[in-house]
Parts: sequence; structure tokens; C-alpha cells
Amino acid sequence: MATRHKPIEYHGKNIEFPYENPAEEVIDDEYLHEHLAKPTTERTKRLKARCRWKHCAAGEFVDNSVRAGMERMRYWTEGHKASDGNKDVIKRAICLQTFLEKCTVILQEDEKIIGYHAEEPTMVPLYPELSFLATQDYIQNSRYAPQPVEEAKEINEYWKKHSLLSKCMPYFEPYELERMYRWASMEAPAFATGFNSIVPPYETVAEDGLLKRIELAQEQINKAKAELAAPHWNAPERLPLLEKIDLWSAMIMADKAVISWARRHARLCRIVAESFETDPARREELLEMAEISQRIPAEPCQGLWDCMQMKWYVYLMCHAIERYASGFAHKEDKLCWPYYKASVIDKTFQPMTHKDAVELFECERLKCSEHGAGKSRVNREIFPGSNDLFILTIGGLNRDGSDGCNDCTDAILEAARNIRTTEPSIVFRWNPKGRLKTKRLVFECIRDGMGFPSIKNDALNAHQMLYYARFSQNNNGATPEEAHDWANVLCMSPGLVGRRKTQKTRSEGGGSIFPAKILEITLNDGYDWSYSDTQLGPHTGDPRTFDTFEKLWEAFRVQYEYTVSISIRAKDVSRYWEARMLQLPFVSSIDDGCMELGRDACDLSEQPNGWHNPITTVVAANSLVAIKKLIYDEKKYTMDQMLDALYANWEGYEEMRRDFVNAPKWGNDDEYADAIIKKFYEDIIAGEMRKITNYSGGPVMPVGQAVGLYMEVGSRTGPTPDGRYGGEACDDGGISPYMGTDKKGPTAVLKSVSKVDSTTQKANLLNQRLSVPIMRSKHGFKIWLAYMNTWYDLNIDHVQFNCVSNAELLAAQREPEKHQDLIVRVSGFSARFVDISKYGQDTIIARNEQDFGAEDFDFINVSAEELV
Amino acid sequence: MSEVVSKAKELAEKRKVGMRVESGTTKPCLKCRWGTEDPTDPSKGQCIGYRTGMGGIWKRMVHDYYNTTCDKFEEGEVDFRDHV
Amino acid sequence: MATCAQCKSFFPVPENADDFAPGKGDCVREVKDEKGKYWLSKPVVSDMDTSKCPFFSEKV
Repeated sequence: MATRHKPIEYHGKNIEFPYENPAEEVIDDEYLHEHLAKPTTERTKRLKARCRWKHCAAGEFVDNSVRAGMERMRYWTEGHKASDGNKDVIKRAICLQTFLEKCTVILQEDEKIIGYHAEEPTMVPLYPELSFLATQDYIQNSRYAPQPVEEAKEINEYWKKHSLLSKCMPYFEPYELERMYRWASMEAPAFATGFNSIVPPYETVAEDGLLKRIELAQEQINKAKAELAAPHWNAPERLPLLEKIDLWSAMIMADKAVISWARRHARLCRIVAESFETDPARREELLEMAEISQRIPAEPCQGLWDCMQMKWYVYLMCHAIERYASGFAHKEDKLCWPYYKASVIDKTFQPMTHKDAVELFECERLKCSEHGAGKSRVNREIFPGSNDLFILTIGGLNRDGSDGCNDCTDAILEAARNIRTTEPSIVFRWNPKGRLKTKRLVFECIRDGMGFPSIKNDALNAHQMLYYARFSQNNNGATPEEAHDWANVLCMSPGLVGRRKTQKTRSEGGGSIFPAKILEITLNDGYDWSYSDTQLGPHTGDPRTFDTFEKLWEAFRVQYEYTVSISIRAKDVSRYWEARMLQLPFVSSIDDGCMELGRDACDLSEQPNGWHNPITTVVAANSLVAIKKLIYDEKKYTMDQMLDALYANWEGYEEMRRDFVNAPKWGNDDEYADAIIKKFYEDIIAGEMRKITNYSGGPVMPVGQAVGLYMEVGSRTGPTPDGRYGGEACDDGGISPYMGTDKKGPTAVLKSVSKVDSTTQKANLLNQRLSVPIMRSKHGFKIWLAYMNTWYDLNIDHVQFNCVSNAELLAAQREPEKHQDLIVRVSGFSARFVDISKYGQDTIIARNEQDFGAEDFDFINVSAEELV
Repeated sequence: MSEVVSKAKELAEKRKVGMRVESGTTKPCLKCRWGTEDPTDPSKGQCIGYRTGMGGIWKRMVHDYYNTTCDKFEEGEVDFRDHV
Repeated sequence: MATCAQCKSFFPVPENADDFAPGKGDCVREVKDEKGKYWLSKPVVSDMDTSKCPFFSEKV
């Protein structure tokens, strides 16, 4: 039986909480989520049942059949060798062309959206041109090394001289590389891991088609050549045209190769229809798919099916073939709306019903679910229970300030609710103008335990786009209208979407630093005793000599500044080389700015979007609060005593540990703790980071979040003064209270979080866990809506929810095979619970399930009458 | 070297509990079920075999993944559920 | 020596295709595993030697 929430006395009324759907009262708490999936059609039900999930956990692929493919590294290398002597940008186009001409293309049964990036649907491609270290990790793994392994070794050896990693290494001292590679105080540079993110300008492909882009590039070449040949030669003005001509030529080569590759898919569909398929209905469908891939992405999209296929081809190019990049950043409802309208409402092209549209979005979700990223070990460690950071954005406002929610938004949400997959995660831009019908669907996804949509403050983030635009080096940042066109680049940070000005590389924004570890080394004069046995930061002195709290604060500042500076320097060194040897001719061809200016996508930055992610901030902050209170204010312990306790992992110091655990903690609306922590966020976390100027000429701002790094970093961080034991997980995100320490209810959390000025941070993740019986009761939506409106009024950047009971989580730990549909929000992504380690699962279980009481109802302004 | 760094190094040494470099060992961390590659450089590693008294996994870095061994060596692969 | 052109998986690339070249074809194979059926298409040339190809199956 389901547990019903006990009645609450509120303003003299006894509020009862019967389930909204009475049928749920008989479902056992332990199996609720296994009853919620309702695929819209038989096709998506079959596709889900046979989905080739590629979830990772603990650095491995959960499914034993996943292997590294050989084709991409083989043909990319072949192209690179064959193009010797060409300009680098042309070499990149030849590599792409070689791969697309020679690779295997795949069609799977039941698919409506096709395309894959490796030679078998169980394989993932590798990218030795980025990092030979990441490729070596695959090669030395007997379970999924690419075959034949000798060929893989030879290829990787070749790239030791030619990869991004080899270009960037000389600018760092060996000890600097050592410090960065450890993932203890900071994330290793992307040139070593090969990790990346991008926001593809899908809009140009949808609206123009690639044939038009080829035409535009050719026009640019013609104009440039005419200028070169004009009278009165002027070298400083005209010589730069040579590089531009090379880039436009590379764009043409890339686009032609992509069109031809898509048409190979068209041919495959036709061959299968004519020579293999026996079902007449599927045969017709395959012929229609063949017609689509013949036309798309060469020509503009006309209907929703066109648009969905276009998106997948462009996704594969930008995220998996031309270069690996995580993410699925686009404003999906806005991008798809004209095509949804044509197909579903006007029925002028590819006519279909709303339900057909929902099926297409379910097909896309399943396509994402079986996508395999050939990413480095660390990136297989830090998004446990998921395959990659597929995150799309919906909602918010249109450019003219009208509500951005439409029927396509609803179709996207219905698909997510019905099919229940971890990917893609959804970001909903919350605006008071957003229509209630759509907000109800957002609620249903959250209530059903998906952990998404995660919710971002629409106005705050549109405003941020304008702030960054001020620093545009070519005075072409976001206009007030364009500022409404934003989506999350990955988990948390917003960036522009559209035909130009989007973020093309993670060296602009992304990457992490770990304040908990930074505090640990601050307490040890920069030395890491608990994991790497290395000097990880500068010498900032013996903390026993710090006679004031301010001296400790300043020592931390020095360590933090050092870590931030070296991290951003590494990103900009990467960017320097990305623009010179890792050009993106395809991505450049679909960006209006690159096309107009003849500048490569890695090189051109019109809208700065610098950010870096402090992860584990709250462990550091709570620790500073405890130190200030117990050592400097109350003088109950000395620094020496505390260090001895930490060195012993609190063993033999249980009473002292209790005092440090009981010191005020973040998230309880506690004046003492909140004052220190607010200053910590604004003065150090943001204050020091914002002093940096990055490649794009703008500031770098903090995006507080966690991914799975709160676990990984936790396991590499010794005991901390907040009472945490060595190796225990850190805080699960940005500005979220440490698990289990927010004891005063959901509104106390909101009050604490709202004290930090959101405009000083680029983003800050707030994880909350809501009571299942309240959310599934007939009052669930009203209470949640009131909570959300309060959250918005407090000008908080973000919030996301787990809505799953401990009874169900514990049951899934006992019998994982019976809980395949149980999804949880880890941090900026959702995960299949049974695909996470027990260590990770325990961190979800330990989060406080926020119940609501009468005081909370008052604060969020729910009237008793509404609840009767 | 400051006093606190000397102390930190002493503690780091203590945390290694039996981990030692034996060039060419047939029982390297690379083959041990408690060993996993370093997040960035696979010639280095992480030992996840050390559990705290409270059951948490407190990793130790292995600087030479191919030539380090210890008495707790167990050949095999760790299940992801026993990992971080 | 059997060649790709003699194999039932060989489908010549039509002359109007972007990637047309004389003798070029698609090797299209149906594969079935525990998850279901899928088809792989790989570019080949009609006179390629198939003696080392485990999937060769003569056209009937």
C-alpha cells in the first residue's frame, strides 16, 4: 500500500492528503516508479525494451557489450596522414571527409530517426587527436579496447606528436601538469581529457539547409578573390583573406561530405525497404525516411520529422564526429515550433497528430539513450548512471517578451513523462508568464521522480546574457531580444542559442575546482596528504600560526586564486591551439558569424560566456563556519587539536567531532552560518574568479554545481572540519545544503539560499528532495506551484527535485533487477538508480526528504481554503 | 620545508599502508581488482581498496600503476557497485 | 576469386549519387543480436577480393 501523508492542522483546518489518482493508493511504496512508464506507442515501447543503454559508472560502461570502435580513429588518422602538406583547417576537413566517406552507417529496426557514429551500435568512437592519454586508457582495458589493438596502439603513437595534448603541454611545468591531472583540487585540463561542450547553431541548418551554406561560403570565396585581385595591392588588408579563403573552402568540403553521408543513410533505408523488409507499412516508412535523408540536411526543413532528423545529424557532427563534445544544448521548443506547427497544426508538410509528435520526441529520447560517448575515464566516472550530459532547454520567453511555452513544449514534456528515460535531461525556464498548462506538465515529470525538468530563473539568466554582451570584443554580443534565446550549455550554465554567438568550446566555459580539497590543503600549507602525496598549491603557511580567522580566510583565498588561475590559463592555452589545429569546418559553416567573418568556430567569440564550476563549496563553507565558531570565537579547541583530530580521521576524537558536526550548517536560515557563507560565495568564490579575464575578454564567473564529482572528489578528500570523515561524499551541488544537514524544512533552505546575491554567480545548483505523499496528493500541484512562485520571487537561480521515497530506493538497492525504471536526480543530470554505485546511491538516500508543515504553507502563501 | 608539510608527508606515507614499488611485479595495481586507472593518466592509478572504519571509500593515489603492489593484491575487476 | 560484386550484400551506388564512383557499392548486411535487428552499410568496390570476408554470400 502507498503511504498517505498524515493530515496537517493549518489555520484551524484539518488538511487531508488523499492521492490525486486514487488507484495509486494500492501501489506499494517500494514499486511506485515501476508503474509510471507509459510509452505513447507500441513502437516506442519496443524501442525502449531493446534500447542499447550506454550508462557509465565508476569509469566503466555498465553494459558489458559496449566496446570502443576503431573506424573513427582509423579513418581520421588516415585523413590526417593523407592531407600532409595542407593548411591545418583543410586537414581537418579532409579528416572529416575521409571518415564520412568510409565509415559504416547503421539503421536499426523500428527507428524513425537514424544515424550513429561508430561501426556497430554497441560501440563508441575514440578521439586520439584530442588526448592520447584518454585513448591509452581504452587501449589498456582488455574489456573494451578497440580491435585490432596493435593498430590502435600504432595510431595512438602517431597522435603523441600531433594531438591537442601534445601542443598544449609545453606551456606548463611538469609539476603544474601533475597538480592539474589529479582531479583532487581542480579538474584536469580539457587538452588532457578531451572533454568538451558546444552549442550547435541548429537554426541555420533548419532554416537554410547545407546547400545554401555551401553557396554562402562560395560567395565569400568569390568576393575575397575579387578583393585580392583588385587594383592597388594592400598586403596588411588583403593577406588575412588567405586564411579566410582556406576556412570557407574547408566549410564547403565539410558540408558536402555531410550531405553525402546523410544520403548514404537514405540509400540504406531504400535498400532495406526494397530488399530486406517484409512488413509493407514499415517498407513505406523506410522509403519516407530515405526521402528525408536525401533532402535533409541539404535543404531547409519543412516538417517536424525533417527537423528531428536534421537535429540528430547535426548533433552527431558537432558532438560526436567532428569532435567529441558533451551536451545537447538547444531551445528545443523554439527550434521545433515552426515545424511542429507545419506538421501538427497546419498539416502542410509531414502531417501528423500531436500524439505522433510525442512519439517522435520519445524516439529522440531513446536515440539519446543509446548514444555512446567515447569519453575519457574521468568522464565515465563523474556522470554515474547516465551516458552523457544530454540536456535541452524549454520554456521561458520569446524574443518579443511573450510566453515561450507552446504545444511543442508540451509534446516534449509529455514524451519525457511517458517514456521515462534518464536522457535527455530538461531545463525549464521559469517565468511568471509561462502558461499553467505547461507548468502542470513540468510538475508531472518532477512528481514522477524523473529529477527533471530542472528549473532556471528566466529573467535572471536573460539579464546575464546582456551582462556578458558588454564584454564582446567585436561589439556584437547579445541584443536585448537575443538575450531571451538562451539554453543551458550543459547542466547549469546558460549560453546563447541561435544562428550565431553560441558557445563552441568548453575552453570558454566549463571545468571545475574543488573548494573542499582547497580548504584541506590550506590547512596543510598547500600539501595533499590524504590522496596524492603532492604539493598541490602554493605555500600559505602553517595554520597553527594563524591567530585570526581572517588569516585563514586569506590563506584560502590564495590557494583558491592559484587554482582558478591555472585552470583558466589551461583553458585559454587549449583555445589558442584549438583555433590553430583543431578547427571545426562543419561547425563554422553553420554559424552565421563564422561564415560572415571567415573565422573558425574555436577562434571567434562574439558573446563571452566565461565560467568555471566550484564543486564541493558547501563542505568548505561549513568547515570555515565550524572553525570560526569553535576555534576563533569560542576558543573551545585549538587549531592544533583540530588538525590532530583530522589527521586521525576523527578516531579517538568523537566528542570533538560531535561539536564540529553540530556547528551551524548552511540551509537552516541560521544567521551566523549564513553571514559567513554568503561572504564566502560573494567575496571568494565569485570575487576571486571574476578578477580573471579569459580568451573572450570577459570575466569568468562561478557555476556552483556537482555532477558526480561530489562523490569522486569526496573519495579523494580527507576529513574536513565540518565533521565529515575522510573519503565521504561532499555536498551534492552548488548551493545545496550538505546532505542531511538542512533540518529546518524547505522554506529555511530557500531563505538561506536567497541571501547570496544571485547576480554575483553565473549559476548555482539547488538540489531539493520533496515528499512523495505530498506531491502525489490532490494538493501536490498547488503546493509545488506556490513553492515555485516563492522561489522565483526570492530571485534564486535554480532548483531541481528528487521525488522518490527511501522505501523505494532501499528496495532497489536490495533487488536492482526489479527497479530498472527508477530514476534519480544526482546533480545536474538524472541517472538510473540501479546503475550507480552503492556509495553514490547512499548519497541520494542521505538527502533530507523535505516535508511541508503549516509554517511552510504560510511562507509560500498557500491558503487553507485552497487545500480543503 | 614547513613543519606542517613534514607532518603531512609523514601522514601520506602512513596512508600507503604496505603499497610499494616493485619493478616488474606480476601483481601490479593495474591487474588488481581494487585498482583503477588515474582519471587522466592511465600510467598512474587509484586504489579503492581502503575503506574507512565507517565504510566509506577513501582513495589513495598510485604513482606507478604498472609497478606498484601490496599484500592486499587480488586479481580481477571490481563491480561498479563496490566503487565510488 | 570471388569479388564483392558477386555477393548478395553488394548494392551498386547509383550514378546520380554524390559519392558515385565506377564500381563503387554499398555492402549492406542484416545483423541480429539479443537486442534486435539492424543493418550495416559499408562502402566497397565491386572487384574487391572477398576471400577474407567472413560475410560473403553469393548472389543467387
